[in-house]
Amino acid sequence: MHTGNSVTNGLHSPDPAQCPLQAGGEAVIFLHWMEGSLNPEESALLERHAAACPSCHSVLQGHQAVRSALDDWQPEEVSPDFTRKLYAAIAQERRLPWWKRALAWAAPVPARAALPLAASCLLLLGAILFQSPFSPGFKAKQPVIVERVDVEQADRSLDDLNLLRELHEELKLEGATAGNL
Amino acid sequence: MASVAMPEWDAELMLRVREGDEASFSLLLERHRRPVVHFLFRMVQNQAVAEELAQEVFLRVYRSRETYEPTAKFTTWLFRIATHLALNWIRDNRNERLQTSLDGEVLEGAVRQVSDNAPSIEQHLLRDARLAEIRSAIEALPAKQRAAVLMHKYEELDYAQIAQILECSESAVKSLLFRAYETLRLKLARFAR
Ligand SMILES: [Zn+2]
Repeated sequence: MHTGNSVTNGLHSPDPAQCPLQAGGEAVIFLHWMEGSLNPEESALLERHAAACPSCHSVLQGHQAVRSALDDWQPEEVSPDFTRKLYAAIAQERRLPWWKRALAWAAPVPARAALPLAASCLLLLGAILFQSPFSPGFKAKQPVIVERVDVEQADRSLDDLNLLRELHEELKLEGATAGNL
Repeated sequence: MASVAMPEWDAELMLRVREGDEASFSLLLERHRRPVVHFLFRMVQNQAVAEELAQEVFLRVYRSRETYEPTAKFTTWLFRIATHLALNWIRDNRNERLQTSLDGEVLEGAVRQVSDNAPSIEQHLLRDARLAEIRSAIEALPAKQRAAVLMHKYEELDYAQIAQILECSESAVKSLLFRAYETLRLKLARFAR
C-alpha cells in the first residue's frame, strides 16, 4: 500500500485561505485522496471542503475521472508461448562457451561502461599487430581472423548486476543514515 | 522502518533458485510474468516489444541467480530492471514513436480492448476513442512520470519502492506523481461527469 502522511493541514476550518490549492506548492493531498491513503476523517474533511470550494470540487472530480479512465485500460493477455520462449533463451545461453559467460561476470562494474571501447581497442590492436610487418608471423595480405567478442551481450549481462549492486549500496546508505538518527 | 527479520516469499524463492532449484524460478515467473509484461506494455504501448523486453527482464533475473542477495524487495529489483529496459527503449525509439503518432496511427491494441458483447457499434466507437485518448495521454507523459504513474496505479508499489526504482527521493516521487496526475486530469477532464 502507499504510505500516506497526515496531510489535512488547513482543512479544519472553512477559511478559503486554508484551501489546499491556495496553500502554495504541490497539493499532494489530492494524490493521497485518489490512492485512498487518507484516513476516513481526513478524507471526509477534504470532501467537505470540496463541497464548498468549486476549485477543489473540480480537482476531485477530475482525479476521479482519471482514476476510472485508468481502470478501464486493461492490457492484453501474455502470449501463450512466452514461457517456452524464455526457457529456450535460457537453454541457448547455457550452451554459450564458458568464457563468454565468464566475461559477463568477471568484469568489475565500473569497467562496464568502458567495455565496448576496450574491446574495440583490443580488436584494433590485435589487427594492427597481426598485420604489422614487424610481427614475426607477418605475411602480406594475410586475412585477419579475430573471434568477435560479444560486447553487447556482456554489457547487457552486467546491467542487471549493476542495478542490484546500486540498490544494495543505496539500502546500505539508507540503513547507515537511519542508524545515525 | 522496514523490518527484514523474515525474507519475503519472492526473495526466498530467488534464494532457492540460487541453490539450483529451477522449480522456484518457474514459480517466480508464474507470479510476476503478467505484471511485468503489463507494465512494459503500458510503458511502450506495443505488445510484441513489451514481451521482448519482459523476456530480457527474466533472463537477467535468471543470470543473476548465483550472486543474488535479498537486501532489497524482489519486486523492487524486478521493476528496476524492467523500468531500466523500458526507459532505454523509449529513449532509443523516441523519434520513431513521435513519427507514428504524428502520422495519426491508431494505437495498437485499442480495438482489441472492446468486448464482443458490447451493446452497439456506437458504444464500441466511443469506448475505442476513450481508450485511445487515455493511452495517448499516458504516452505523452515524460517517461519517468509515466513509469511512476504506472507503478503507482497498476502495480501498487509504494513510494519507497518507486523511489528506489527511479533512483530518486520519495518526495521527488510524490512530485513526479503530482505533476503526472495533474497533466492527466487536465487532458482527461472531459471524462468527468
Ligand atoms: Zn479549495
